[in-house]
Amino acid sequence: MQVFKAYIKVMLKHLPTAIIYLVVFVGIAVAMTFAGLGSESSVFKEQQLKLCVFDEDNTAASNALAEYLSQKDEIVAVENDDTALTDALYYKTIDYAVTINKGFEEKLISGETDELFTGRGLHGDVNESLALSRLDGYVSAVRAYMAAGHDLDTALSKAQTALADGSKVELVAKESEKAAMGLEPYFRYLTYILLCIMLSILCPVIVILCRSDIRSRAQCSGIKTTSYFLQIFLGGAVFVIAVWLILVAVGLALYADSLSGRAAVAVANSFVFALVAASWAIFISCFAPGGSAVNVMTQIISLANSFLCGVFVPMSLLSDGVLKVARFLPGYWYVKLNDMLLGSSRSVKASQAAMYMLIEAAFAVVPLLLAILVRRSARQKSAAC
Amino acid sequence: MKRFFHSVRYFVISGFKSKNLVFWLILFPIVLGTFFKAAFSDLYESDDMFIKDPIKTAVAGESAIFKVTLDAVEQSGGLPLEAVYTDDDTALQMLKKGEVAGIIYIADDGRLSLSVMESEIQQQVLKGFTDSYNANAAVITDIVKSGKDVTKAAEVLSQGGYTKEISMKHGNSDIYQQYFYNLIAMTALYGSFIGVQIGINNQANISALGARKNCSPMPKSMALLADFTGGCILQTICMVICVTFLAFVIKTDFCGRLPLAYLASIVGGLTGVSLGFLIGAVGRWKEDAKIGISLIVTMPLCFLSGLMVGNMKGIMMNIAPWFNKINPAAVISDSIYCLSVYESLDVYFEKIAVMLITSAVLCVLGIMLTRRRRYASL
Repeated sequence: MQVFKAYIKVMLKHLPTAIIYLVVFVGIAVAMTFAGLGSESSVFKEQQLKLCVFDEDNTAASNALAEYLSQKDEIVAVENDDTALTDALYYKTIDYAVTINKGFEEKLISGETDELFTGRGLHGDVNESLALSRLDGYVSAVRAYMAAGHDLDTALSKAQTALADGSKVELVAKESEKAAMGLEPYFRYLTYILLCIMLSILCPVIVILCRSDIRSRAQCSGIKTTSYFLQIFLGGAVFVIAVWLILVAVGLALYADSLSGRAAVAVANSFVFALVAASWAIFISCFAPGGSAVNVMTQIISLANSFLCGVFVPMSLLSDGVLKVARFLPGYWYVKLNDMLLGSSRSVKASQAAMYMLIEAAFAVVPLLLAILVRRSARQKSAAC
Repeated sequence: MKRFFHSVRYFVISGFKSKNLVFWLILFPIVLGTFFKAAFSDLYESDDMFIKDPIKTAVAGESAIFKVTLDAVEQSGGLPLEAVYTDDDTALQMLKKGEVAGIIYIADDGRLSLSVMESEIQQQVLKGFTDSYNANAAVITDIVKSGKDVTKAAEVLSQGGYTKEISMKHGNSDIYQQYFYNLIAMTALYGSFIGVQIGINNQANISALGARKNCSPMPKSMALLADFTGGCILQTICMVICVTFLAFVIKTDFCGRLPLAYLASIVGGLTGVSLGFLIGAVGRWKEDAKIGISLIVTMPLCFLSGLMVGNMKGIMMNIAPWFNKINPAAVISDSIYCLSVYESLDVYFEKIAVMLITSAVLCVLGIMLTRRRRYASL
């Protein structure tokens, strides 16, 4: 097993890169889990708007409105300056900025309704409409009580009570897919990290062990060619399985409460993708790239697979043109099946899952066959020389 | 002077012959920009926050007032809601199949309740509607109970529009555009690889070229200045290629201020080269280690500016607003963001000034570390 030992020795020299990838990926996954990004609730979560409120009137009526808004929504303090407000609106630190104009209370008493507020928004989205309807609802309730003959103080207090009486919401449970929501993004991002690790580690190791001087040395030794390649294959297999096992074990440990039969299929799907990544590494290593070229190819291939196949941006938001191109990449089939198993899609048949995994496997077989062809033609050329 | 221009020329030529520099400063931004375009091009318009189609909702129960209210709301253009009146069981089936966003139940007392499967934006709109309906019903019931006249109150409850709306939109408010601004910032800061090269090329104890230069008759200050000028020219060419690609191929919207975007990116590139020059001047590590250090420095800066997570700058705005003002990546991307979002150019020139000051400080620190270095003759 000398070749195998040599393989492991060479690989250990490249291991720090893999450890950096693993630590960063696992660190982010753990941080996201503790931040609750992957969790879901069994009760309806009412959205709190992020409002910035400037009270220029500073009266009992305006204070009561500000208090009502602070009960319903999150009030964010931003400097009353166009630049600061534009920045906050652009980066969605706030959804809307409301100024309670001077004379608000007087206008309420006199029945005037013109420009009680000044609202500043940027995107013109639903949140702005919700903020405006909050203001309209409050003022209408107060005015209704006053129209019925109540004084301002009573109207303010009664409106507050009436508006607090919201509607009940029942969250109907999604069935099987409900529990696995945290696992879905983890397994989706796994494609990026698997490609990065396999390409950046396996490639240089195979390049070294297939260098002509080392190959010639092995050929004049007692080791058979078949044994030589089997030992290299074994070394690669140990690495691929070890990396895959670590990543899957971390995922399953982080989302232990999400495990189901579907999660088992997702694990199998990730193993097929690990094989795809390894076979791409083998194919690229045929061209004996240098360290920087491997780095370049790792970046391009992993980013292309992630951006075009719905890893970084959900597939539902990608254009048809991008998805048509993505079909020619293994990540597309992986992400699609992963979404069916763990994500929002509601049904997946066993035959469909098997077909998607077979398509992925084809993306592993083709580069391997190409790698054999390239190596054979390279050997024939060198023999001819 | 001839020797100076000779050095500048050869620094630029050798830069373009370096595969690493060509990849990271020219090819990588083009590749990443293309992926950004593929992933983010239609994201803003198709955002769930802009509801274009009516929200399909099942309504279980009968109420004439509800129908009248809904018609009135639809006519006023308020709520984009398409109601499907049906019984409880069918409504639930429709919800589970995903045919409707929610079910509005009308109780015997006229109050509304809601059943949904998610807490997304469509469901939030439905919740807003049912809350408002129930609140109005509560007001009317309360007034009736108190024995007062309800006619005027009912009329007032149907009114609205108390807000004067001002749009802060002056240019492009697409939040996904900031990925492209950050891509420019990343390319500018990758100029630090060139800066590292300048530092290394002038230190005799680190590179063979540095040793040769130090024993040449050319004054050290002139050699350094020539390399720095060459580095800036090289980085300027890379920045121009990057911005040209984004503007004319990717069609990034600079709101008709493309020349100013070129200026900002070129000045940003100068900051990147200066940063690299300082890193190159510190310590006795080899080139690979110093390139590694510059990556370790620039990548977190780009991350905190929003290259990987879109609203990171907004998050930093809440946590540490001062950091966005000194983070070179944030300052560079902000200078281009200003062109697209603000009418006035005051903030733009403020950012340019910050970049120039940062570059000057980094250069001075780099020069202080490299000046008057003497090497023992072995």
